[in-house]
Amino acid sequence: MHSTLSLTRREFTAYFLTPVGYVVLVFFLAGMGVLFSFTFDMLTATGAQGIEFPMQSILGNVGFWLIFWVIPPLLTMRLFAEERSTGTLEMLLTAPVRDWQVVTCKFVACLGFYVLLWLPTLLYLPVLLNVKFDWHGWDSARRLMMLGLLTPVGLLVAVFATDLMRTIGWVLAGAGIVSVIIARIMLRNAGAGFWNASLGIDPMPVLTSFIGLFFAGAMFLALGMLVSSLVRSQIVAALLSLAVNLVFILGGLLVLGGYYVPPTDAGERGFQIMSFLSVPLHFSQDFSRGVIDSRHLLLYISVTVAALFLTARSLERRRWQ
Amino acid sequence: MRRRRGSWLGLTVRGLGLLGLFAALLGALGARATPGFSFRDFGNLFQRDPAGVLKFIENTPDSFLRICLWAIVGGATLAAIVLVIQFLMGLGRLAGRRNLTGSNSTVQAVLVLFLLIAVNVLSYQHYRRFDWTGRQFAPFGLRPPLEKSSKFQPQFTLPDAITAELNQLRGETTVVVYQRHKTIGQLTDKPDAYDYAAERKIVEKVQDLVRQFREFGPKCRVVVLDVEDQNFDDTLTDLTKNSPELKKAIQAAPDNSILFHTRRHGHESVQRLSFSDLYRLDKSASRAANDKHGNLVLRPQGVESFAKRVLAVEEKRPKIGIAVIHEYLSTEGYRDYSSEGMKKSLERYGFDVTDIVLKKWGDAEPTAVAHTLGESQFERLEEDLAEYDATIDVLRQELRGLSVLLDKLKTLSIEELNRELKPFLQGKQFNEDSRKLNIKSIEPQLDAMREIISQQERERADTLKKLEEMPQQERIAEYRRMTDVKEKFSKLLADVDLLIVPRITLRNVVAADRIPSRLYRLDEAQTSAIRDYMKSGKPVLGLFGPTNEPPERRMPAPTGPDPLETAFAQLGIVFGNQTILFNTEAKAFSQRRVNLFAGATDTEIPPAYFDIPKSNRSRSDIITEPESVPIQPNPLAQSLSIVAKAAGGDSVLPDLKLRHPRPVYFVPKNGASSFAPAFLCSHADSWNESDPFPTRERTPRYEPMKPDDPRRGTRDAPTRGPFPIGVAVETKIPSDWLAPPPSIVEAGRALTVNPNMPAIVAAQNVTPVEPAANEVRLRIAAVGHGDVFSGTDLSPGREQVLVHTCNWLLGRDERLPHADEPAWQFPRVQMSERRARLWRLGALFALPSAFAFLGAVVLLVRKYR
Repeated sequence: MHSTLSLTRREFTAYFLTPVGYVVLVFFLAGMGVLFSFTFDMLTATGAQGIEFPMQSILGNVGFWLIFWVIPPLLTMRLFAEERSTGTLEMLLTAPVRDWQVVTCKFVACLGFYVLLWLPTLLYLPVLLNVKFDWHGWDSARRLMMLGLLTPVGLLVAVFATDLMRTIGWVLAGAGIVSVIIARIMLRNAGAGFWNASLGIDPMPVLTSFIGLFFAGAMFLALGMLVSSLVRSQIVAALLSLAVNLVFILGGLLVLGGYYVPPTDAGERGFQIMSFLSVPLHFSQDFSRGVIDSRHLLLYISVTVAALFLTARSLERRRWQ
Repeated sequence: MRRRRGSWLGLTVRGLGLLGLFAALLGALGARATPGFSFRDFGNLFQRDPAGVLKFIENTPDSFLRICLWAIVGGATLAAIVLVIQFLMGLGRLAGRRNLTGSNSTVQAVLVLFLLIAVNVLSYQHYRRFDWTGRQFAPFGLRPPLEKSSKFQPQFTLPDAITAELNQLRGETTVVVYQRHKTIGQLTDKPDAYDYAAERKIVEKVQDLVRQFREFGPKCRVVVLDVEDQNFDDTLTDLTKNSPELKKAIQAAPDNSILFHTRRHGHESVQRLSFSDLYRLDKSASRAANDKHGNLVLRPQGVESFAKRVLAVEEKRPKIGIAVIHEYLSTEGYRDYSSEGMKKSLERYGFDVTDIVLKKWGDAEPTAVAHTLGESQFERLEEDLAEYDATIDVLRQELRGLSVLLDKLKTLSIEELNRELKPFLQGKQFNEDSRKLNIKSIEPQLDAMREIISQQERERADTLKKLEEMPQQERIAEYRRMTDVKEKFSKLLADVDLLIVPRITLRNVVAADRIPSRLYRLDEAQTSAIRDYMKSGKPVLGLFGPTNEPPERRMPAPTGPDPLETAFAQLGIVFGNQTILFNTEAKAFSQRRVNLFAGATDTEIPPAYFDIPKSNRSRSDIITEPESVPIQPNPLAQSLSIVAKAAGGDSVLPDLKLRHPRPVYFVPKNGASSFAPAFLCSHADSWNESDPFPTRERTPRYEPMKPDDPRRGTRDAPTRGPFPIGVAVETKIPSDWLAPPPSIVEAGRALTVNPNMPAIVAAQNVTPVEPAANEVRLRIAAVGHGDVFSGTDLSPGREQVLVHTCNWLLGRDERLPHADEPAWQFPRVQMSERRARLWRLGALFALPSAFAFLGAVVLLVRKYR
């Protein structure tokens, strides 16, 4: 377990020690900022313009899918290809960890960074949900609630630091959680909320969008990892990942971009298969509008599991070659 | 060396396999590019007779295609052989211990891929969709997770009742989503941004709804037809190849529509639903929303109407009878006077229409009949034929006379001519010159006459042909054998679900464009048939124009009131004796005294309202309604107001300008209506006029009553508007209709002829108030305007009024526009300009910059540590 955690931490921190992680973050947030700005314009528009589902405006946009197409290969290209080219893969394979542990650790770390990419976008939520805050001023419960911020700080310290600092990090994170629980009980007894927020837009499409993004992201990352485990060069890994991802993105891009008009008979087999595989269509029609379709989730999960399994087999095969 | 040879062999085999694949690919591309070649047919041939494929290739006349097909077959065969060799070699390797692990991984990978495909195929066939919209998420168990939110509505979930019903559906229904790119804008000449935005949003909503119905599998086959699609014509042809009724319905659809088509036992059934029957634009609310900055506001009409069309696609189309007094007023009538537009509109909205002609026209006064349109046309053609025969007879006699005269002029001597033609010469004498002159003039006359006769004969032959080709001649003959008007009219009404009686009277008081109202008068037998029809609870819509006539042209008054108006009066609907004029018309009349070429129809008149304006309600009530006036709004007026809001008007449709209407009052005598009876009112800028015809001496204008005016306190007292010009009520059948009536005519006269008697008093005096044991309720509506729905085409606004009035009368309330459900609109976020800019700039620059800064710091620290 310890080795697994260490390996995960090593992989996760690696993203912050090279410029790639920051470039990806900045590039991603800049793109999301543009898309958010479009959505913001529609939400504050006058006259007959508007948008019913704000997340649809972001996730149903061709621009978003161009960004989303590029991001996972950038995150996964180095995972195995770099180790193979620098020769550290042999060391890793001879370490006292199983192949599936290596694959899982790298995947969890990569997924963690992917989740981290999305965390700053939570700042858009007050607009996307049209939140109206009713602030009643500071009291002891609310001050205690603010100590909850210690949790993420503590977690960061626990992940990145070593030895004593790591213990302190865990303590801080725990203290943050405890303070939030106590503050919550105090507020509940007083019959008040932290800031009595009210929502003007249905929050469920946002929730379903993030659920979908998590699993779709996991799928693309797993595919990227599989490709990375098969080749030596990072560039080749990235290019091959882009090509593989096209299977799940191209159809949707063509439809969303208006380059392909769906057939008149929606029951046509070819279009059905395309719709089934096309992740952008899943988001523009379902996830971003508060609908969860078991087919989409199962596709993402099954491809993720299969890709991770094949990655492990790929490593195993290499071990015996 | 041996190993090297083996490597070369392997390379060669694999190279050949790749070469085969490449050749097959090139062949496939070439074949694909050849017009007329189908891979499906080629595949089917291969499945049926693999050896026959070679013969097929050999016999292919196109040499390029032949080469391509050889490349496909040869390349594929080569690749298959190489694959088999590789497989056998692979088996040999698998047996080796060294490769065991690698082979094991390969097998596992293949199995995983197989499993992946299998799982997804299964999940595709058995899936569930979870609509989380309109729900609350309570992750910490404080409330049950995903409970229904009180604030937001589920967007993509059909009501349970509809789902249950659709699950019971048998057979296949084709749902055609037909996009003509015309929805709301049709109510106005100049669609604006709201109209276009509404169209886009409604199309989106309809597609969402259709997607939900598609979940019911093959029971609902959904096809989208878009007129902007380049392949529209081909798709339409394919879709309607064996469905002529569907093609007809698509071509007749006036706006964006959903058509429901099914075929059972060879019989096609088609139902149509407008996109606007699912969502309606409320332009007034749209403009007022968002602190008057505007937002798109739509009124959802519920998905029930959509579901009902799917579930009851084979439902019988209601039949509407239009009773007119002349063929020219029928659905195949003459231009502005015809009911053709009414028929077109009603058929577009799923009604069947039939004509009933109530008068037979000859040289004398018209007589009461009850003819089908075919019968009336048959009789007219017969009369035309008789007329041709008589004309041709006369012409032939003339021709014979002239021929004899010419013969005499040519053969007799001058003396004989002077003797024979003495009675015609009036003392003059023939000579040779005058003989020649006469011969010269008669010969062309004879030729002309022969031409006229031959033309008349041709026209007669055409008429005869039309007569012989008339459809349903047996039925017409059967009807013609029926001589009892009441019996025949009752038979014609038996399969009619709604009867419309239009009476076009005053069209233009200045140009004397009018049909005298006395011509519409029905006889007792006809009225009795209509009364029997109403007694069965079937509805009637009366469109009765004013009965005023110019003083100099007034014919001798017929005895007593029109029996049909009397029957309406017994149901509580009383027509006023005056014509409503508008103040703008009074000005036009004055101008016409100066300029004789000016016409009254040039002036703009205000459109009719769908409700009495609240500020004037009390004034109107003094005369038209008793104290127990119901306060519930008229349901038809409410629905039509929603229609009007789509055009941006508040209870007003711009194209519903009714010139020269007639007041219509409701006098509740069989129990008060549960809602306000008036659904259509004239503008307040109007007055009721007994003599609406302007002359050089007199211009109609509003003149207040004198204190001793005998009309004071009666319905005929001149007042300013608004006046009710359309009423729609649900009332009981008078008990004396169910028992033998004492004297309907007498009762009616008291109500309609004697204007001195206040309506309420009259009603109390005349009406028997005891309800019958079996109360029959019926819906009835009347509009004081004869040509509100006349003409070859109805304007969109008038079409909506007609269709919704018919739906209401037929009890199809679920099809009426309503505002029961919460309005839909775009979510709006309101904030100050500065905050908005901060949000925009923060998202665009501040957030990415923050991480760029963090990255720079980390990298700097790492560099200098």
